[in-house]
Amino acid sequence: MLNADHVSRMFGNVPVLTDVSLSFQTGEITALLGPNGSGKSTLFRVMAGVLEPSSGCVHWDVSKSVASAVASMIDGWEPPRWATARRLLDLQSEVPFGFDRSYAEKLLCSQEIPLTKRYGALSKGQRRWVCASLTLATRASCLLLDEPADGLDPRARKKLYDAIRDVVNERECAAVVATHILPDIGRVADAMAILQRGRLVMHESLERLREELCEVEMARGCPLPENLVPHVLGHTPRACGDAYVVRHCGGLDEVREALSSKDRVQRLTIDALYQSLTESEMVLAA
Amino acid sequence: MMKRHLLLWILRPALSGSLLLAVLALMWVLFESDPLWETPVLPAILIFLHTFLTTATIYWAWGRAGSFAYVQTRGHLPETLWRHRLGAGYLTAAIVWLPAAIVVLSPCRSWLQGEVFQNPYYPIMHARDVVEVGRWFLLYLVTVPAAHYAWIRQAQPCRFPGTGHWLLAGLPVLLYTWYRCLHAPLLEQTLYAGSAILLTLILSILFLLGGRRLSQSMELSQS
Repeated sequence: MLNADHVSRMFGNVPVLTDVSLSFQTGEITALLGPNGSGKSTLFRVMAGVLEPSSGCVHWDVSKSVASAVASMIDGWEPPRWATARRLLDLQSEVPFGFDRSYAEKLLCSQEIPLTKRYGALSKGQRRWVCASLTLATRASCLLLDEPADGLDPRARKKLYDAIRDVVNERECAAVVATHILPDIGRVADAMAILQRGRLVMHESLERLREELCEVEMARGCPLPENLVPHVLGHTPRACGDAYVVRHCGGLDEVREALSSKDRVQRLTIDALYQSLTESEMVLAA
Repeated sequence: MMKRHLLLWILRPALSGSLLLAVLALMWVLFESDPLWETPVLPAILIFLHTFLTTATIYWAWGRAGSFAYVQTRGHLPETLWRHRLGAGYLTAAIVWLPAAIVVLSPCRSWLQGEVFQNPYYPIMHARDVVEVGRWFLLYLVTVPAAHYAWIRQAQPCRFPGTGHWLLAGLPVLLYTWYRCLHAPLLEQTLYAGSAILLTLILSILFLLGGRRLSQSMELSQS
């Protein structure tokens, strides 16, 4: 289990991460979401052990050091253009936690990427695939994948997420995937964490969120029933009224009971949840 | 202990400059008419320039380009990366000076100077040239870990910011003085030569230990 305990990170006087505490379980895929500049890549870099947190710490279980347990694919830190896929495989085969070279070659083969081709000569999607394949074929206890599907066509994207799922299931490792492609998350993730302005605003299992979260639309001027107010996570004013994100352990039925028949209540899609949590007035105020 | 592909990967950006300097060093030992121990300034300058440029290339150029960052995120421990950077530094030293050393030791230089150029010093001075080769490598033994230590030091946030830059500026002066001390007439005697080698080793080990300790917490963004 990879743990981040009260991690904060400043760049000069600017706080980029503030008191982020997270844990990633083995056998689980966590989607890390957040608007641009919310601190996802910084959190990845801290978790990968290449940036020191200003305060707090990151550790793998109790004994292992992070560097020897985490394999990462971090956006912007790519292999040099002159390196061929074969050279990259050679380099990767020396990592301390082991590397399944034949699996990596199989993944590269599935996208018809020749081992002798230079990295700089590959298309954007092929480069992404190479980086993701190298990370997935490591035998690390935790995989950090920053925007792994960026530039991939829908077929390749599906293949990639299937491969992530297979690896997590077979090797009992943890995977953290940062992405902006929300429909993919519902297909692959077990849990979801959302960062907003360097703070963690949500980290929950997706199944539980699906059961407990809903969106309530109230007509203009109608207040939310008092028993629902403590369960409100976000509020977005709309043209026809107000929309509230409500989290209730009783699920949709209990929320519906508390409302009148003219108020609308519906399950939240991941897209809508993300929009609500990153745009709504309450979260921004927090 | 050493990972071949990682070492070659780190070495790559410093390779072309080192090969160029290897040719220069080779030309110098072949065509220098004075005995090598009488002209210690040129190899000293070459060694300082080479060590500090190589270190700068390994730490700075790759770090900024993002490609070294890629290596750093492969899962190697900071200590492993530091060891391989240092290994790459020593390897470049071998690339530059090993061909020149072979020419001196073989003794191609002595033959070329004595037989072809009719230089009256040769082959008599051959034995002293051999000692000079040892001095080059002794200097490298200290300059490589010293340059790595100073570079990491200037990249670290510390209580006295800027000390790394002072170290980078002051070390060549210190090490050149040390190098000239190795040419003192007293060092012809075994006892003094042995002490000089021992002191060089101690200096080298101190820089190695310091660099290793600092590299544990080195951040990529500052390398």
